[in-house]
Amino acid sequence: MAKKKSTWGYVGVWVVLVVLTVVTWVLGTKLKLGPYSLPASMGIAVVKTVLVAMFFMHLVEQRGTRRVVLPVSALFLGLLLGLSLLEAMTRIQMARPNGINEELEPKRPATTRPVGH
Amino acid sequence: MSTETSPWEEHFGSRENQNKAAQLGMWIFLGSEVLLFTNLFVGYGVYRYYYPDIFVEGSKHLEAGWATVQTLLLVTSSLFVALAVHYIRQGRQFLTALVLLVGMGMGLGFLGIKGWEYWKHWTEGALPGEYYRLEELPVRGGSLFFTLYFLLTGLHAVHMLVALGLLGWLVWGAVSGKYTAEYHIPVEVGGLYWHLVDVFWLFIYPLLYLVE
Repeated sequence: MAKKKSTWGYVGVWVVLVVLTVVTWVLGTKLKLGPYSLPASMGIAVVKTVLVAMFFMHLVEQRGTRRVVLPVSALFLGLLLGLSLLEAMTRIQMARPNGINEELEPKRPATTRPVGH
Repeated sequence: MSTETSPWEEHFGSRENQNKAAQLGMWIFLGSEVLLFTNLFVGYGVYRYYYPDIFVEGSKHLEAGWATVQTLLLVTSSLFVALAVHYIRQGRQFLTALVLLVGMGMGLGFLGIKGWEYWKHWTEGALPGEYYRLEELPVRGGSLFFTLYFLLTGLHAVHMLVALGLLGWLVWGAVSGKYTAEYHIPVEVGGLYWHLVDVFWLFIYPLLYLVE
């Protein structure tokens, strides 16, 4: 049962996590990625989360229900966030907070707006 | 409670079953924690969508460098908590307690930086809701950014405090010889909680400190 496993695997994962943290910081403060900064930083955060969950939390060792609970909660996070944002993005002006005086068309982020607007 | 009693419960049928039940219970609890934070992440997403420029300005008011240090502290503390599980699986109680204490030290360092940041926000008036008095940012949007900032980091800090208490309890258990290579369920599932609190921060960090 208690076979002697090396600690170097954990240290390796930690090194990757530190490198990814520094990359996030450089991307966020030095290189200005503009519209790509949010997907880039979130992508890195997801990779870090997978590393922490799989190896530090030993999710790789779990089977069946114990393995799917966390991914399912992440799926629900995605659904709740995605649907709420979709709703906010397709509201007309009357249903938006006061003081945002913009056109009476569905509000879209600049990145998805057709060229020329 | 007498320390003589065995930690193994008859009704699980086998020790492996007890182990699996504890793991499943903890993972379900962690799933519910994800959904708790989901509320704040959705609020953040919607308001960042409405006030993109103010979120960029608000983010510049925060200490991105120190937040990076905090991230490194948490990631490193997670390594030590993972090592604690690794060592207790081999029955090395003293090493387990030692690496847990190192991890706790880093968690305390994280909270120290957080407290200093809160104090700074307090003095400059970057406070949530009606207490907002920061002049550089408009009240509309600016106050929302700092409300979300305090809710996200505050809820996270409360989780850190709970997790620190949990690790302290595990240190005591390891030192008093409660955990062995055979029985160490609390170290396994307690560690899971610490890692999840770390994971929340991995998202809070770029969302609040690195907006552009």
